[in-house]
Amino acid sequence: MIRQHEKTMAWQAGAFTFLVHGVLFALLLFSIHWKSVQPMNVAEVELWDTLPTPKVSVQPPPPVVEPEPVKPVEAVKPEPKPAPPPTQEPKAEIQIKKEAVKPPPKVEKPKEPPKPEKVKEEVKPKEVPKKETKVDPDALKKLQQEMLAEDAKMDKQEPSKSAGPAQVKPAAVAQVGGANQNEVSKYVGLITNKIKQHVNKQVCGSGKPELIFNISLMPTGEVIGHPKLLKSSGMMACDDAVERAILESQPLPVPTQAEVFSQFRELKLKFRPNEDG
Amino acid sequence: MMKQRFFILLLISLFSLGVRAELTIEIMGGAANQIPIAVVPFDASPVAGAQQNSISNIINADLKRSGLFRTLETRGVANQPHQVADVKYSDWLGIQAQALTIGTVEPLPGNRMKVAFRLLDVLKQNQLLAMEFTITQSQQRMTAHKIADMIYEKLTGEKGVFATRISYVNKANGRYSLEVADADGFNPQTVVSSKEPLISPSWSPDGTKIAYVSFEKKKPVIYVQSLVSGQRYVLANFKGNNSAPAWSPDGSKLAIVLTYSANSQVYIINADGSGLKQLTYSSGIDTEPDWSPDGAFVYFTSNRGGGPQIYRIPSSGGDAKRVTFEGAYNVSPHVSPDGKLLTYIKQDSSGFRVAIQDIETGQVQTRSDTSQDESPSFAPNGRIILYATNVGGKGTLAAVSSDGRVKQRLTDAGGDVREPSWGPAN
Amino acid sequence: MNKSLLMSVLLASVLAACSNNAVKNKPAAPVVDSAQSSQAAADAEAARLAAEKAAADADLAALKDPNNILSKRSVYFDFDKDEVKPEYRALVDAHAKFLLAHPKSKVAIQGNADNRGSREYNLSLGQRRSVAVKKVMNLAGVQEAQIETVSYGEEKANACKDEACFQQDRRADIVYDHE
Repeated sequence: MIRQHEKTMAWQAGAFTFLVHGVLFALLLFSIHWKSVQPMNVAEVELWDTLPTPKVSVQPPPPVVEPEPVKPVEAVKPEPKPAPPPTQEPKAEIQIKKEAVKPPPKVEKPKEPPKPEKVKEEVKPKEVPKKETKVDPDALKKLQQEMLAEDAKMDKQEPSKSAGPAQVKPAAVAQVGGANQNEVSKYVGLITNKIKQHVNKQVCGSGKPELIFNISLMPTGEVIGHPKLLKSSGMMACDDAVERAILESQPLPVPTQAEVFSQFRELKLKFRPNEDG
Repeated sequence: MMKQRFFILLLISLFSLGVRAELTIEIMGGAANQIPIAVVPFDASPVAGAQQNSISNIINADLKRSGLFRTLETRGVANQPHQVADVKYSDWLGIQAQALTIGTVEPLPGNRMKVAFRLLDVLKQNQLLAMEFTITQSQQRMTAHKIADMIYEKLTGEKGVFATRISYVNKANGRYSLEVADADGFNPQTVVSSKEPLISPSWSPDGTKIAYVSFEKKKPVIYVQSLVSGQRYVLANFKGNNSAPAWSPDGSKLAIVLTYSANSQVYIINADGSGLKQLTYSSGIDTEPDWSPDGAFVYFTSNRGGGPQIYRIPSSGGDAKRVTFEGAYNVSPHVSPDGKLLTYIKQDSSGFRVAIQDIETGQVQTRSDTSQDESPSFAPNGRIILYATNVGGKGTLAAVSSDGRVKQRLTDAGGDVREPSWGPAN
Repeated sequence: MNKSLLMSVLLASVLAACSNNAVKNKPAAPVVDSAQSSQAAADAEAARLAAEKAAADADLAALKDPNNILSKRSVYFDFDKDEVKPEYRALVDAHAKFLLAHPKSKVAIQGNADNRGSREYNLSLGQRRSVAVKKVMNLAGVQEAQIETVSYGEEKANACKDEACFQQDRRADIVYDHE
């Protein structure tokens, strides 16, 4: 039987467990980096087959599961919680309390990437990998200790800083895909420019219409079938003109690496012809 | 420990289900402003000399003049199709056409012909339009204009005005003649000719009659003439000046300007000359009435406040409200067919220029690059403004699109051309 | 005796001719003696008519005499204005006086504008200028029956390039009906 004292502790521990899991879940949910690299297999740590920087870590959960060679993972391992949470739980509950206060700002930060500002998105993983290349278990510990020190200064609510180490993990993951992200954003730019050359806004009236098309692409850059209109401008001539602009831009410039091209198979194209790009 | 591992595994498994988002690309703005179109000559063996009259040439000229199309040279393409089955889309993709027009002309007995055309989407490789006309020789130009209108409307979403007519006064060799021509300036027909001035032609809304002011009686008198029969009658010959006729949108009345009570004031009169009623009352000059398309208001020029400005008054009478507030001299108002825009002549530092005002917001923009402009009027689709200006000392007709992007000079009618008015849609 | 009678009759006729209905009036000469008086009457009539004609010719000549203000027929206006400026009042008044003295004479005042702006507005402006001149004459006593106002707007204007040219077109012309 659990003694009375320990019973109280147990409930608290359980509650905080859920809380921190919730934080982790939220982080994973809102961090888009996760989406670009797929965890293939739950049980394995070995995930990367073509990544340029193998020394950087993988997703947080597997490191905890397996005591694998990925160094940052190891560093995290001794912690009962996965790396993303900026503080270690076993340390004083005070820390966790502070942690509890923190989630809102941290959650906000990861929310930024999902916005269509792809450029910003790419910048972050670029930035962080620079830090990450030096990561080793000790460095990570140091970071985490720094985090604790910051947490101690409660008045300094700096989401970006506190989210730093939090981003470390997903960014670390993304950094592996960082080079991929470069490719993706490069081709997004090429496609945007090519189609834009052909968009004729003269037949789109004087308002601010928006159009959305879905297209499927072949590795050659050709559109499979016809573009699918998801959102009409309300003017048939405008819809037709934009569809022609897409078709006229064939073959669309697409990445040659299969891994990266896979993200371009299905594209959603959003148009605002009367607004300046 | 096990409990935590379990939770972590749970989270991972949830994620491994894959929330794979589609890559979204946002494209703002657009650099193209013309639709590239190829019009293949309709006649299998075009008769040289009839080149200018050839249907495909007229269609090309119309589309090009609108400023919204880039008409492509088709002679370099070896395969010149006339039927859909003969079309090799790759040929037309090769010259970067987005649309293709093909057609046939088949002579019929009795100096008639059958004209058929198809409009095709080169990129989607499907047919957009198909139409056939049985016509007489003399209707060839107008049929070509009608085809151009249909193509224009399909690809831009706006009604075309290539098959409409314009009227203007041509002063040559000491004589004045009021003429009606196709919108491209071809086929001018004289309505009336005189040694004394003719001014202010005004089309009836159904396009069958034209009102105008003639000085043949040595004073300005308003006539209404049928464009069908050529018959005319005196609408107003009161003591003093009779001028500035403007038809009501339903064609039953005209607003006119008389001076028999001293100053120029606006009156309303029935189309048969009966029922004269004064509309404006001021101690200044009230003139140049123009009805709003819903018939509710009459816009007019008045200098009741000092210099000439544009006002509007309910057509049933009432208080006049001032409409223009920029500049010291604003005259010749004309309302767009959709009732949203007002065009007029505005004097500024560079001269007298065509201006457009948004009726609701009051925002004004000058539109022409010439500086002695007069008589602006809207095309029936509201997209183009026709006006008279002075080029090299000679009166010339010009046109500018309502957004200011496309500017043209019209065909040289020979003399000193003035007082243009765009006819109604057919 | 006859001569002095003749002279007084002649003078009286001349004076009578200068009044409004003078043309038609023929005060009969008292018959003094039938043979001598009919000859005298005929002579008087001839002389009287000659005097009338001389007076009328003098008037018409005045309308064309460059030294006479009546030969000036145009009133000039500022841009978009229809006020008769002070420097033209004397001119208008002189013609008003003439009209008062010649009730059978009529004038048309023709208003004009330079060719800038709209034709219809300029037609109205020309009309205003013509009416402005008429009103000055009305003030001097000239009746409506003797004045007609007409406007040509910009229809007679020149294709101008400078202000001096435009100024010439902004005018009202006084034109007599016998011209």
